[in-house]
Amino acid sequence: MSEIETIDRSTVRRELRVALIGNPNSGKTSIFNQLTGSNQRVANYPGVTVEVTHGSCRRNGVDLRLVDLPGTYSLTANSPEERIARDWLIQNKPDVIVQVIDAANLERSLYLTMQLAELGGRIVIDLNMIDEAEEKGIRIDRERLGARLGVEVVGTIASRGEGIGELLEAVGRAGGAAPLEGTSVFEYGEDLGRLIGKLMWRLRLAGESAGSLPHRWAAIKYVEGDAGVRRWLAEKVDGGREIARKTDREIERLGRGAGVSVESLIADVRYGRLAAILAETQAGGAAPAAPLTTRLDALFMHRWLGMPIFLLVLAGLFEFVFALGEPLSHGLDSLFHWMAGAIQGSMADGPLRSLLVDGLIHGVGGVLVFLPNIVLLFMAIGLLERCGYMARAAFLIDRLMHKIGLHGRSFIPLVTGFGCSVPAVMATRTLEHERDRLATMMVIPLMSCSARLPIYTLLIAAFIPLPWRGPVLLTMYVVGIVLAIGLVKLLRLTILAGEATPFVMELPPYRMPTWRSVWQDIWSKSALYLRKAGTIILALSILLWAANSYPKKAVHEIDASPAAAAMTAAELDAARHAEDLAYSVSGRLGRAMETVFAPLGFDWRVCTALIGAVAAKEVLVAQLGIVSAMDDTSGEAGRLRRILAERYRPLTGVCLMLFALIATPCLSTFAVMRRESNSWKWPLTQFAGLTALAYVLTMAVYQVGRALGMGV
Amino acid sequence: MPAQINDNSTWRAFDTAELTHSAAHYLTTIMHLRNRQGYARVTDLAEHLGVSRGAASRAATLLKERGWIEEDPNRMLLLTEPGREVASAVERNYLIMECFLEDILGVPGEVAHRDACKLEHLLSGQTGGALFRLIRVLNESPTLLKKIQARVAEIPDNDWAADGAAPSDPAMRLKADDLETAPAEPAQTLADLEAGRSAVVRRVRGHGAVHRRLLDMGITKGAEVRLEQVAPLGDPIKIRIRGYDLSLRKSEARMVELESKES
Repeated sequence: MSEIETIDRSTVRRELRVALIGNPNSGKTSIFNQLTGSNQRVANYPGVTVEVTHGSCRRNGVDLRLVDLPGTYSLTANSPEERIARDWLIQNKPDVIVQVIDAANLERSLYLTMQLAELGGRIVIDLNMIDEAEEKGIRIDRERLGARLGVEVVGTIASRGEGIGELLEAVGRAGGAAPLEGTSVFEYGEDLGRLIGKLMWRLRLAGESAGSLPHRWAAIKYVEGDAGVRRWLAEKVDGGREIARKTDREIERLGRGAGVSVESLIADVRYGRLAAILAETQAGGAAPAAPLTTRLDALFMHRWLGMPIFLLVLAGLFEFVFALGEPLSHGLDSLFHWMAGAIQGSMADGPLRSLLVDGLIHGVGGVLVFLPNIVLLFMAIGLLERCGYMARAAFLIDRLMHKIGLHGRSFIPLVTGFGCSVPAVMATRTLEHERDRLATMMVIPLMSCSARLPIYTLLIAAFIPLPWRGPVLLTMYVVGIVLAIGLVKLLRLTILAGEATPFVMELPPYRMPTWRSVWQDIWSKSALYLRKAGTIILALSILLWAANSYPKKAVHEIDASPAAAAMTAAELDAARHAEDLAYSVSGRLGRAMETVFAPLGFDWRVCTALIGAVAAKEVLVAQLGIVSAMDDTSGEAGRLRRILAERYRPLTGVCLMLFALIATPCLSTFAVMRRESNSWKWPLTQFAGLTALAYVLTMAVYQVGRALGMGV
Repeated sequence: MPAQINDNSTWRAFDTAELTHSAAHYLTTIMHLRNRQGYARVTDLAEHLGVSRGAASRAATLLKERGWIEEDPNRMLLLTEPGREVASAVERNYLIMECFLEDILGVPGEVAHRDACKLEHLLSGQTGGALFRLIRVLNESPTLLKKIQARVAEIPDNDWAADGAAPSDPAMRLKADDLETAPAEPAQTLADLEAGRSAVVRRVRGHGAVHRRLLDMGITKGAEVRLEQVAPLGDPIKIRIRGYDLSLRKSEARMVELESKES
């Protein structure tokens, strides 16, 4: 640390808090990764699913504490992401704000710069991807642009790490410079200027209470109709309501005189000013579309070919994630089986061995078994997102999705749900708006995941005559989809009500993704899953193991019964096992549930199996086997089928399938929901809501079926 | 009907001609009589309006001078083409106005009728058309309408009287003048643009988050847009603006009005 001693501490700070802000697709996160490496941590904000990444690095003896704010086009908060970005800037007042700009998109990006300048502070502009811009014939006079805006402008190519050093130097210099005053950088012309000026003065006259926001900025935002600032004025500022009333009248009058909204007047003025700045500093005019992007869009969004290609990509993604992931998951599963076997062989039977084998190893295995799917899915999504196809996929399917109240980007998570809900819920990350994200997450469990398939096949084989098996299986999938659509509509009318989220979305040019960024995606998603969701899954697994194992039965009735003599050792063991389960917490719970579930046609055995299904859907089959005193469920599906067919009526089989489809998302889904929604409210609502829905629907089917004498 | 609203010259004629209250009344009565019984004579007119035959005759002469009616050899009064246009425009205005006053503003029926009668011949086609669209939107969303009415009812009467911004406000007159010069047909929007065509943005209609988002993305007055592609399912659309590609739904594109001249 001798470096520090050589630096004059009076002029250079030892720590700078730096915020990175920029439009989506500007390469902001790449810059952040370049600056901080793996030195990152994700912060959640209460009540929203938006995340802010923090990181740090050291340069010339100065500690830089960096924060990567969510992408935003404007400082007027239109969405939770934009609100988080803006509020963070206002509340934390970073020492330096770095705006990352896609150099080929200077005009639209400077729109944000103007608002940052109005907010005040020390700003550095980073023109990123200057190589791409130059290819398009755009040349930017950086010095002139900097002089015009009163900020320092540097250029980088984040994908190759070029210019990062200069950026850091500029940040260091800015840190020692005087901040922009945020005053009259941009004038708004006579009428608007007077309106803004008057409100600014009124705020100034309101005294202390209006001090929490820069007056000019607040005035502009108020006139722009920013909900947050309007609330601030009404609630926080003394006499704010009166100021608001007067100002609103003036805004209305100005708008009426102009024949357009005042918001659009402000946007007009801003873009007008920008045109003047651009004329001086940028050669090449508005960027033409990249020829490759135009050609690819003509193909991918072609009237006839677009959808087939999309379906092919989707099928490819599904195959990649699940067909490729399956052997990997299987391998992991075998590994844990082998470990369990090894421990079983070397340890004496007892509660500790049971905890290790059935609780811990089983639990850890249950966590890791999803990992191949998650890694593969985020590799695929990362590639699609970063090459630019993801936005096109949303574009293609938005019309359908919008009809049912979702967004084009909801489609891929939903389809992934047919494979597994866990990665599907994580995939909702690609949705920009929180309400869309939550609505999608809430219905994902209704997509029949691959763990439902063993349940369906067992029960269909047991109860449904051959010609009807295919149609019944299809019906199960369709019922899930139809319920999902209905549920989305319901959510949109109730807890997720509100204006439809706009589809005003940039279609970024196609780009070669860098492996580095894709790996970063995979790594961060997997790590998050293991750390945050994995721990919950593990804890719940152990809890379920305990419920299935305790209390222990000391003496088994079967041993005293005369039938025992006629049984083989394996059969005897199975019978004891069944007794154990019946005696355990799960079994007792199952018996207690029997009265509640009698209207659905479920006895205590089915109820106990349903408790098992909470761990993972396919456990339902295994648990049914155990309660039915099957010695080995894996090899004897045929026998279980016979036992079920003897004991239950087809109607019960159908009801059980229906209930397994709708009710109680598995605990892994629950854990991932908790992590992705950043609250307990959503997973609990989902758990309770879906279970209630399943109960009511299944009961209706059972009762109607019985009344009609169908399948009884 | 819509074709008539869109006919620019008719409206100009209607707007520039001095249409008195009584002339409007006579014209619409002739139209009604002809529609009902197939003919209209001065006698029928006088009887129907409760005026003397002489008064009706004088009024008919005036209307003939304006070129709005003709008299055939059998002394039957006929509406000329311009006359029919003016009469139906007045009629339309009356209906729109009465609906607006009674259904939307909640003015008592009698008052609404009287005010609508007073306004029918003064209202421009543009305003009538704008009112028509507004009422339709409100009728389509009864909850919104109820909300508006509830909010309106909350504001005490004296608020309006005390406020300087009453109807004599110069800003409002300015607005009215603007409308007179605006083209009568509903403006072309971004949703109407054909693929491959370019146009210039005139303004972005509406309020709220979507409106602001459109502005933030650079869709502002004077910006050039080109409609690049329409999604295979017909919605959304891809446009190019300010050097980048943007997608938006047609419902959002309808908020973007274009200058009528296409390049």
